[in-house]
Amino acid sequence: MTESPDVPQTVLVVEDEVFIRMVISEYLRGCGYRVIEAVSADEAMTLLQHSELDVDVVFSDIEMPGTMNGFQLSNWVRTHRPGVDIVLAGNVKRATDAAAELCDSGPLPKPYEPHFAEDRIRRLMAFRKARKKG
Amino acid sequence: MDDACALIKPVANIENVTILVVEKDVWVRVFITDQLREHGYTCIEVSNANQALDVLRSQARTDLLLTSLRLSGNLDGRALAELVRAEFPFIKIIMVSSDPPDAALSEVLDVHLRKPFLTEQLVREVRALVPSESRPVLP
Repeated sequence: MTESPDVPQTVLVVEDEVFIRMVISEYLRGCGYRVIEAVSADEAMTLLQHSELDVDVVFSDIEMPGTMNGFQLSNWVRTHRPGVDIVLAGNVKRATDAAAELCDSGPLPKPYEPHFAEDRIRRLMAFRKARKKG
Repeated sequence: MDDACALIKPVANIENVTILVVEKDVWVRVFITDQLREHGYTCIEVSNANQALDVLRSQARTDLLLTSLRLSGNLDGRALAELVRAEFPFIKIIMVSSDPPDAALSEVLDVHLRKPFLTEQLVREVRALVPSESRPVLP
C-alpha cells in the first residue's frame, strides 16, 4: 500500500442501497478519503481488475444483487489485490461504525459522530418506505 | 468602516451545489464524478433511474440532474427527465448522449451534451445552470 502524505487514501465503497452508499461515502470524504462508489460487487470487480486504479480499502456490504456477494468479493480481493484492506459491513449500524473506525485513521477528523450518519440513513429509508405506502 | 467594507470580498462557494449523476457504466460514472468533485461540486451517484428517483424524492439536496440517455432498468434517461421535469421543475437537467435529442426530448432538458465532450464543457454548462452561492469573507 502506497503511503504518500499528499495523496489521499482511496476507499472503494460497494453498496447497492443508495442511501447507505451516499451517506457512508460522504462521511468518508468528510474525513479526507478519496471515495469511489460501486453499486454492486460486479461493478467493484470491473474496477478492481484494473490494477492501475489505486484502491487502499474495499468497504463492502455483504448481500447485494448480482453474481457475487461481499464474501466472494472479499475472497477475490485477497487473492488478486493482496495489498488492499477489506471491510465488510452487513447492516447500517455496522457500516456507520466501520466508517467511523476508518475515519479514526483518516487524514482529517471525523466530520461528525457515526450515530448521525446512522440516523440519517434510517430517516432516508423510512421516508422512502412511508412515501411508497402512501 | 469604509476600508473594512472594501476588504470584504464575495467568494463563490460551490461546495454545496449538488449534482445527481445517473450513469450505468461504472468507469464513465467514476470519471465524471471525479472531475466534478475536483471542480468543487458535491455529487450523488446512481446507476439507474429508480435509484435517482429515490434520491430526488428524499430530503437529500439536488440542484442538477446529469443523466445518460441509455440506462439499465425499466426507465431510460428520457423517461427520467420527463418525470423530473414534471415533479421537480426547479432541478436543472443535463442529458448526455451520442445523438442529438429530438424536439420532444429537448423540451424537457436544460442542456444536451453530445458525446464525446470535454470536462470543461460540462463544467461550463453546470456553472451556467446553477449559480454558485456567494458569501462575503474577510481576507
